[in-house]
This record gives sequence, structure tokens and C-alpha cells, in this order.
Amino acid sequence: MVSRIRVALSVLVALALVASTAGAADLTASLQNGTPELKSAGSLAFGPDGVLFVADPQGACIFAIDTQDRGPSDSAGPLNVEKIDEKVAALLGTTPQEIMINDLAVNPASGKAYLSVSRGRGPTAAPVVLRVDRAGKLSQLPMKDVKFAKASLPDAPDPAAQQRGQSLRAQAITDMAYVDGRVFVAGLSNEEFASKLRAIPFPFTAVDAGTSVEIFHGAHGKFETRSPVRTFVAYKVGGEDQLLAAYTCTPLVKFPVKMLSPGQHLKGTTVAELGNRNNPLDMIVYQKDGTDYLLLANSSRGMMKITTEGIDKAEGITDKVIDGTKGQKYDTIGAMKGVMQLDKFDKDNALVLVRTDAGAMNLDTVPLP
Amino acid sequence: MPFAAPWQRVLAIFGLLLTGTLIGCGAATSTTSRSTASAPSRTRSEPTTIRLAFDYKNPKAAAVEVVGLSANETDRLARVGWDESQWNALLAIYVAPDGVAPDGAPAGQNEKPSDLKDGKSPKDHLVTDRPAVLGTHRVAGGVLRFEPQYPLQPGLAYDVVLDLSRLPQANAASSASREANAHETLSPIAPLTQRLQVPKPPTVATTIVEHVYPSANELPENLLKFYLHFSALMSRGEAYRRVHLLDSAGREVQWPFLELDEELWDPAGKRFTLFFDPGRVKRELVPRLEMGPALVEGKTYTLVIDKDWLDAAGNQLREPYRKEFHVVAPDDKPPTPDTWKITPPAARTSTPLEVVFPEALDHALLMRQLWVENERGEVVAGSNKTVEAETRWQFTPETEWQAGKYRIQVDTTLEDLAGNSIGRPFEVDVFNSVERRVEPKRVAVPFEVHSTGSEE
Repeated sequence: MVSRIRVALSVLVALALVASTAGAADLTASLQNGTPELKSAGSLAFGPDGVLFVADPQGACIFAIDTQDRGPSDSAGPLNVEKIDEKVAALLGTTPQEIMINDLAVNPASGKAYLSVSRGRGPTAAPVVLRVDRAGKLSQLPMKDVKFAKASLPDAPDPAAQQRGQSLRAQAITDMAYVDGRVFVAGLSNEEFASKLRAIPFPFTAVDAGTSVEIFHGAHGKFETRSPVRTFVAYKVGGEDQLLAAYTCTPLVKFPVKMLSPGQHLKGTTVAELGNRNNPLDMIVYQKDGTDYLLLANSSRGMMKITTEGIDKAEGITDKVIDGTKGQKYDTIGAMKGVMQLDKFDKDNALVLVRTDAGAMNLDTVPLP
Repeated sequence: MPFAAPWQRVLAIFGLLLTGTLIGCGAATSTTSRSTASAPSRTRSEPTTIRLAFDYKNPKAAAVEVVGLSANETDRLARVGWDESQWNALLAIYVAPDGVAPDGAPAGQNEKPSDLKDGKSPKDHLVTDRPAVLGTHRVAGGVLRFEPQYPLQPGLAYDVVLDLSRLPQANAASSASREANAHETLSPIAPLTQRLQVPKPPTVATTIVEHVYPSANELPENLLKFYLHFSALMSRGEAYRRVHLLDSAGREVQWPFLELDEELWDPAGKRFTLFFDPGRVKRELVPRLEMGPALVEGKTYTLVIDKDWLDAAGNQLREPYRKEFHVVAPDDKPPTPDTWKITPPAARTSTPLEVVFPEALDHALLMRQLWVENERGEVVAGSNKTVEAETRWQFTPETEWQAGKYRIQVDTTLEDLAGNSIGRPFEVDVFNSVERRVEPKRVAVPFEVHSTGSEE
């Protein structure tokens, strides 16, 4: 979901300019040949060197897979596929009702889109990762004899689990991003109500399953609350890496990456209130006319273009917000309706998975507003 | 029409199950006229036929077969080393477009036979711009076989297109000439098209909602979640359309629940966690300020689960489910183990240990976050359950209790029905200092098993 990491992009651009990667550390070096046994395919995020991170919530782990898709793009122009759900279903031998497109990520090196898909609707649905080229051709990402690595997410302690058979506890993974040698994973338990953000160093090591912190955000008045992080991006504020996270009850919260350390109670700063009856779905950061913006897709409040102006100095919202919204200013982009998934396509365009009024699902390249 | 294929035990053929019609080429069995000058070696003892290889004992292994190819043809096919698009040019399987006329021009999808373009009515153009179904082609025992990567879906129609002009030619020894053959129309043969369908087993609605937690019929205004337990694996993707909260007048409460695309299922897919929208539970958040809490003290509500919620087999529930409950005052107090009443069992019995709480606690967390240790810190094996609407927890040991000291270990993330956990309310009042805890901690509640309690 959040492959749109500027750090990663700049590394790629630098590599392309140098024209030779000899001697450069290659992210695929730590990967081993084999078959990643995915139980499910959820959030996606690209790192450099064609490494795709695939979250497997059912298996409670993250896979890093060498797609061997290092670009450059073999063709130019937009990527548009009408009725992508029908085509994905047809390729997998079934109907659109029997598939779920869980996430979309664009490989910034090649401009190819990747979709994580469930083939089937039950818990035994087959996980599939598909690649879509600019001609709209679908192909399956091979999963046999590929270079990959796996990191398991640490589970909550359950000393008596063996007696009780399989635990009913599971971790939904709501978003994932690769930032400068670490994979950030936002998760939500299906039991206790707490948002967990894990930072897993990459390359994965056998013993280090990452650190876990609990993020609070200052809410209104005198309360601070726990709430699940729905989507987030990495963004440099004043030269410092920050994560900007959109929560389920729609505050936008920033917190510094360097504060993410084990056992930390971390209080983020609420920089915007984006309104009620709404779930943030997906977010990217981009630059236009020399200014940075956030683009946030929402379940019922459309697409928001949010300015980052003054975000470094934002003190945080602590007052009651009566009129619905507060903080960083935003425009609602009326032309971008029904967006379910979003990623950065190139410097001027976004790739969106859209559900049309007629119910069809399209993959569209749209200019960044 | 039973048939014994060379490498499969029992096969039922459903080749003519649906349409029984071959588009562009007469009837299913009429293939002899297809020999032409450009395909000189086609001498077949039987007509070329497309069929479904299907075994009732293993319906997921259904495959598509082409029989009636000559020995020369299958020999050459076995050696071609084609890629996926070359195989699909010869034999491709498409999901049938459900009787909907295809929408014209291809959109750069997988290669498809071109011979269908001319001289046919729109309904005959069964191949649309959809890609061909993923799978593996192979030749064995004189049969060309397509094995789909994912099982063919029972009840769904598939169109199989066989273009015999793409068969490798006898003189195509080099890869270059094979390539040429693959891209030239050497013969006027129109492709065979056959519609196939895997039989759908009869649907029986047997799945029910077994239980909804919390079990009580009086629930706090700031109730945080329901657990819905089903008797079988459930489908995903439609949960929030299938649950409703009705007020006492039967009107649907708007936006009461936290809707997450990921849907919070247990790993087995039988328990669904339904959170209330925390924005309407927590005080002074915008959703609650504007819309009020989802539940209001003193009122009565009904949680409704639609019968239309499909289980993983695609069947409806046997019946809808309704849970009526009355809403009482919000609960802002964290659970405190000091207030729990423990009834210790007697030694040399397997009587359950019982813990009575002053309020109902979260069912799932009670099952996971309470356990019993002996004096040496070893976990006592046994089973636990909740009774009396989650206000009591019982633990039955696998072996008899021994006299001595024990403790109940409690993970402090244990929550009550309103999400208050031990030592920490759901809403943290920043003016009252609370411990800033992240790593889960445990609280030990001691008890003692006395031998005097047993008459044995």
C-alpha cells in the first residue's frame, strides 16, 4: 500500500543515474531461493531492487520477494484496465464475486502494478500476487523457486496455548511500508483493542522479529486514546523521518520514526481532524510545484489533498472539534471518486483502483491533483 | 457416459453438459473434415473431442482434455517446449461471459485465437477480452490435457477453444519454423469451441450463528465489541452488510460499527469480531459529538445477523440471528483482580476452580489471558470456560489438584466489555497520571488448595 517511499525512490533514481550497481548493496542479496508459502496475501509495499513486501495476515508474517522487476519501464504511458476485477477473476478461472483485491502497489522502478488477491472468499482462499503491465496484461508473480525471505510477527504471549488448541487470536495488518532498511507494519488484534506498529529491520534476521510499540494520539479535551492505525506514509519533516498515520476515527497523526523503540509509549501529535462517518483507506505523499502534499482516499469523504504546510510546527489539536474538521487544510478532489486503493504511479500520476457507480472495478492512471 | 482415461481411474465426461454445441465447426464429433493440405499428417482413428475430466471423488481435480489427436500430433506436442501463450493459442479455457455479449475489441490481454473474428454472430464470439484461465498443458497417453491452476468452479460455465491449426507441424523441426507456424494461418480450420461445466452439488443451508458474546442481555452504553461465533467456516468481504443494529422501533442505527476492509476473523474463519466505532464510544471525539453514541443508556436494541451471509461453501445461513439487549450505564472502571472471588477446589479432586467477577469480562480474552500456575511457576494443564454470561471463569485441571499454593496469572490486557483493561481505563484521562505501560504485564492472584477440603 505504501510503497511510495521517497527514500526508496531517491535510492532508485540514484542507482539509475550511476548506471552501474556494481558494489552497491543489493537488497536481494539476503534472499534465499525457495517457495514462499503464503497463507494469504494482504498489504503490499515495494522496496528498492524489485523487492516486494507481501503481508500475510493469516500466516502472521511478512514476505520479501525478489520480483526481478527492476525496470526500467518497457513502455511509456498510462496504465488503465477496465473491469480489472472481471479480468483477474477470469485469469483465476472464477467470477468477480469470488475474488477480493486486497491491495495495490506500483513498482516505482518499472511502473508495473501489483495486486494482492484472494481467490475464494473463505479462510482457505488461495493467495495470489498478480502483475499488470502498461498494456494491461495480467500475469501471475511466480512463487516457485524465487528468492525470498520471511519474518514472523511476534504473537501475544499465551502460555497455555498448547492446552487450548489453536488460538482464535489473529492480527489484521492494516498497512505496511518500507523505509530505509525497516519494514513498518500496522496491525490490529481481533481481540484486545490496541493498535500495534512494528518496525522490522530488513534484511530480516532469524531472531529479530522486530520491535513493537503502542501509539496513542492526543484526542480532544483531556483524553488520549488507543485506536487502530488505518494507513500511513513516511515523510520527512524538517529533515527528520516521520510517520503520518490516519486512524479509523479519522485524525491524522504524526510521530517521529526515531522514537519507535521497543516498550515505548509513544504519543503522536494530531495534525488534522478529517471528519466523521469516515474511514481513511489509503494515502500517498507527492510533490507538486515544489510543495509536498498528502493524498488520502476515504470511505465516504472522497479523496483529500492535504497540504503539508506548517506540519513541522504543528502543535497538535487538543480542543474540541465541533465543526467536523480542523488542522492541516485540505481540498476534496471531486474528480477522484470511489477510490479503494491508491499508489503513486510516477511523479505526475497516481494509480487508483476505483469502483464505478455501475459497480465495475477499474484500474486508472490519474493526474496528481 | 463413463470413460476410462489412460492415467485416471474414474472419469465422468460432461463434454456436452451445457450447450453441446460447437461453434464454427458443426457438431462435437464431426472432426474428420478438418484434415487439410496444410495439415498433412492428421490421420485420426476417432474424432477430436473436447471433454471435461471429472471425478466426483475429487471434484477439485477437474481438468479439460482433448482426445482424438493422432499419435504423431501428440508425440510432437509432447516435445514442443512452448510457453503459456503458445499453448493457449492451441487450447485455451475462458470463463464464459454468462450470456453477456462480449464487448468487442480485445484489450491487449493474453493471446487469443483470431479465427473467431469473422463470419459469426455476436453470440458466437464466446471469447472476450478476458484472459485465459491459468493452468498447465501437458500431453500423456495420447491425450492433451489442461489442468487449471485453481479448481474449476462448480456451476460456472467455461468455454474451451481448440485451434487445431496451431498444432506443431511435422516439418517444423526448428524453433524458427515453429514460431512461423504459430503465427500464420496455415489452414482454414475454424477453432472448436466447447462449453463445459463442473456439476454443482446441491446447496444445503446448515451453518448457524452458534453464539454471540457478550452473552448478557444488559450491556453498557460504551460496549466495545461483539464476537459472533458461527458453526462453520464463513465467507469474507460482506460482513458489514450482513449485521445490523436496530433500535426498539426497529429502525436501523446508522454507522454503529468500525468497518475494516480486512475484517477481523479468527484464523479458522468461524469467529468474527465486530467492534463498535470507537469514535462513537469515546467521549469528545467528533463522531460522537455530532451523532451521539451508537448505544444510549436506558434503551433497547437488537443485533440482527442476516440469513444472506454466506458461509465459505457459498450457502446461506440456516436462519437469521437476533439478539435483543438493554443498555445500562457506561462502564469506565478498569477491572481489578482484588475484587475477584475465588472458590478454591479441594485437593485430590478435579473440581473446577471458579473465579467470580463483579462484572462481565471479555470472553475471548478470558479464554486466553487467564491461566493457573503452581508454586514453582509451572502452568497447570487443564481446560477453561466462562459461565454466567462471562461473570465467572472455571478451570478444570487435567489431573487432580494437589494440596499447595497456586496462583491465577492474569495478563493485564484483559478487558471488560467496554475495553477497560486492568489498571487502565479505555479512555485515559491525561490529568490523572496513569502508568505508561506497553509491554504486557501479569498480575498474580494467589489461592491455596487444602487437603482438608476433601473427604478422600
